[in-house]
Amino acid sequence: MLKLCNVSISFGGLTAVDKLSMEIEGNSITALIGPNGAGKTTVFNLISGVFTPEEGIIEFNGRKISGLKPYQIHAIGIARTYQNIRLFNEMTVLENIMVGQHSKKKCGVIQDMLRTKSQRKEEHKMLNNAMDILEFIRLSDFINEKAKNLPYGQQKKLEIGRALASDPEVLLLDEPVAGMNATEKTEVMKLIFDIRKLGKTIILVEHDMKVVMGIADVIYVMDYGRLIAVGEAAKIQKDPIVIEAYLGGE
Amino acid sequence: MFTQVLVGAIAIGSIYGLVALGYSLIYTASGLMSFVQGELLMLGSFMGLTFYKYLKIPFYFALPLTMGCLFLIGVIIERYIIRRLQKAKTNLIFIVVATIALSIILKNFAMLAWGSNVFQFPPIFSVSLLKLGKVRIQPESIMAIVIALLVMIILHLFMTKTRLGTSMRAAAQDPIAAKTMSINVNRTTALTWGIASMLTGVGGILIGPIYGVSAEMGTLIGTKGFAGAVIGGYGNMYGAIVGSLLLGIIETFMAAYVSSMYKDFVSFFTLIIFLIFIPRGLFKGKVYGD
Amino acid sequence: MDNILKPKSSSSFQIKWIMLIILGGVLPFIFLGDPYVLILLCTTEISIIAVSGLDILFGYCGQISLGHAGFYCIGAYTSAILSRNLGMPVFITIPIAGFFAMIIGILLALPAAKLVHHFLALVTISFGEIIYLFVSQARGLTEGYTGMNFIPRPKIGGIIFTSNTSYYYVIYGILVILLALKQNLVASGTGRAFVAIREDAHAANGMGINITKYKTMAFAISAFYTGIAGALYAHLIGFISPETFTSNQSTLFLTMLLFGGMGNFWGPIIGSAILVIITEFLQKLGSYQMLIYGAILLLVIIYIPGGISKGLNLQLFFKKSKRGKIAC
Repeated sequence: MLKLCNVSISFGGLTAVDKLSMEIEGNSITALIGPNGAGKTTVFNLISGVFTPEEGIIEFNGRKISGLKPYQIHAIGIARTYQNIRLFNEMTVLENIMVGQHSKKKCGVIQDMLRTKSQRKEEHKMLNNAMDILEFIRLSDFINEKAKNLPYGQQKKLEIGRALASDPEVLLLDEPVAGMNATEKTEVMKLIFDIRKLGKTIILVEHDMKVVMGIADVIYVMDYGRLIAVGEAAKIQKDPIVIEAYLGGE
Repeated sequence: MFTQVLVGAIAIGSIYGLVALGYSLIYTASGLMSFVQGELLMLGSFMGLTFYKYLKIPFYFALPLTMGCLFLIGVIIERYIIRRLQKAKTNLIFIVVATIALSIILKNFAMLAWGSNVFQFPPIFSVSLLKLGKVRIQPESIMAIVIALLVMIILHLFMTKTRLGTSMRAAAQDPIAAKTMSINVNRTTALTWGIASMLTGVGGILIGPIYGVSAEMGTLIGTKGFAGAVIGGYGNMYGAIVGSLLLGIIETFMAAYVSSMYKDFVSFFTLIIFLIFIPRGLFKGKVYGD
Repeated sequence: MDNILKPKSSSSFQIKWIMLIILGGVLPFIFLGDPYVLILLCTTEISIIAVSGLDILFGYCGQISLGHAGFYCIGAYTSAILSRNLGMPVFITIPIAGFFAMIIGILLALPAAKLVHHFLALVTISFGEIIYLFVSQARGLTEGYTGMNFIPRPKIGGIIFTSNTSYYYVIYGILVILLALKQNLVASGTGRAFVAIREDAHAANGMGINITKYKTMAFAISAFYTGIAGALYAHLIGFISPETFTSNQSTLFLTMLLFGGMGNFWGPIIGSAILVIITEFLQKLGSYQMLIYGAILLLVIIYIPGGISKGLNLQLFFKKSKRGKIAC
């Protein structure tokens, strides 16, 4: 349902992604791994519209999305988290989640300023939806805390919640367990499984191999912007090319 | 006539260039636009005037003296205002507003002290006008070009050939990496601001003899320095010089051959056009956020 | 869940609105209708409107504007020209002035929405200067440096609001409505979009917010508010000239906002009130005025970065927020 066909992009002469093709199936958990600088986050940036591919196209449910802007891609149903947390720091946890629902908002600015009946109804609905998400990600205790005051692990979870808020079909999680301790990692892994149970598709970039092998259905391995291997966990673990990529050149 | 106008254009363009260089230096080192440069130029002008006219110090002493004073002022501003705000993790835009506040303080202080009068520099050379055939040029204009050029060359050599200059460039590009190379980033930043102020002070003492000295001169020239920096590509030092020369030429030729009323309009307009359509300037500075 | 999570505005609705309405309502009587004091009060109200506009753009959406006097100017001249030269009723020309300022705000947003920080600052400064230059030079339209006088007070039925006290209440009504709209705005999805842009525009984009559209909206609404303020000012004094609308005025608005505190209800109110008073005292001192504003601005940035309202934690005092208490 999400397809990348021969996607390439370079920056200042350096090829970041080189004729990459991926085919992501619905309701799966796909992992994108590779050494540092392999181009993984660039792939996320390409899918989410931050960059437009120089070559190749990206399709979502049969529709071409490469070339769209990030907010348009969000509206279509692809949401993401960021490698370096990008929360709205001065806003509360609750407000962050509510912003995540922005694509679903139907009322315009005039209705907002006049606080019409339909606007109040919609606000209420968004509020309840946000509360549900907070409960789902187990952050209900912090609803009025400013995002910047949260401990690191909770901030990472909040980003996931914010991405979930718009009920997207696809979630792009960029290093969702980076910097976490074992307990937090297990919690996030469970969360990802729960998200899959909701029917969603997850793609994650991650460096922690235990986590990747533990939850991914399919693993794509990148190096120097190119796809070097693809398959299930067991197969990838034994692949000599993958091992070479991680050990060689370090 | 043409030569006269050209000389005038290059002279004023060189002075804008000194101001624009200051902006670019500060932008590269601290990542922000300092709005106080214009007023520092005015200060430099008044100081030069005081030293030369009232204290009767010979010009070739008054110039370095003014430079030294402005250097110190630049360092003080960086050390006690900018750095303090940066340490307090103040949002970038507030630091910019702080420089605006500073410029308002300096300008109004000057207006209180000296009123709206325009003060004249006593002649620096024994001839008031150089005559080369049909061409009449103020020697002060030639001096402005020569000294500005000299200053820029020295700056270039300093930045590229000396250890200190190279450290400054390194610190500006990547403060953290620079620190690991035991470069004292605090010191280099302070130095940068000092040099930027010094450059603008030179501009002040060079333009004073040509156009006179007044409390209000800083604002307009400051804006034109901005325009020069934007046209050339903000943050790019060579761009700053080229952009400013270009501006000086457009402006002066406009005034000479079309109409002198709209001289300032031209700079403004050029600035806006560039900001709207070519914000990164001719040599590609950094403009957008993130 | 209903009683736990009320939208921001209603939980503190009672207190701050009652305070404002009562306070504002009785002020003229406290000062026994002294026309001079009433002018000050009117000026304060007008400043609150203008600064609230700036707050929406800068405080909430994070877009600096150092040329807001431009919108103030456009509002003032538009309403003055329409009412005095074309004889249109003031209660019509004021909103028209606001809408015209809003259109200019949208035009300004075209280049401005693409720029950030210092470049945005430069563009807005240039904007302010151009407006000033325009009204100074377009003598046929605005009478240039001479200024326009005999700008009428509003009239309804046969009643002309000549007395400063009566005009005070006209402005007062407009002020309360505009403040209420602002409160609704900031507590709504659009308000959250503004703040998201301020906090992290990149992430806001990723969360479905069309940055250009919302920045333009912020400029538009902000220009509307400040334009209305300008129009109200023109009819208050009855005389306007380009001198009022220089960059000094933009600086003053910014100082009021920073001093009072950005991004909240009381900030523009406190900032305007205190600085209008200070301005009065400095009237005699001429050039010292701007010098002191500059000093205040600098000191506020260095020592009271949140402005007075945050410094005194006024928000916590007034906000009887039940949002923190959840049944465990």
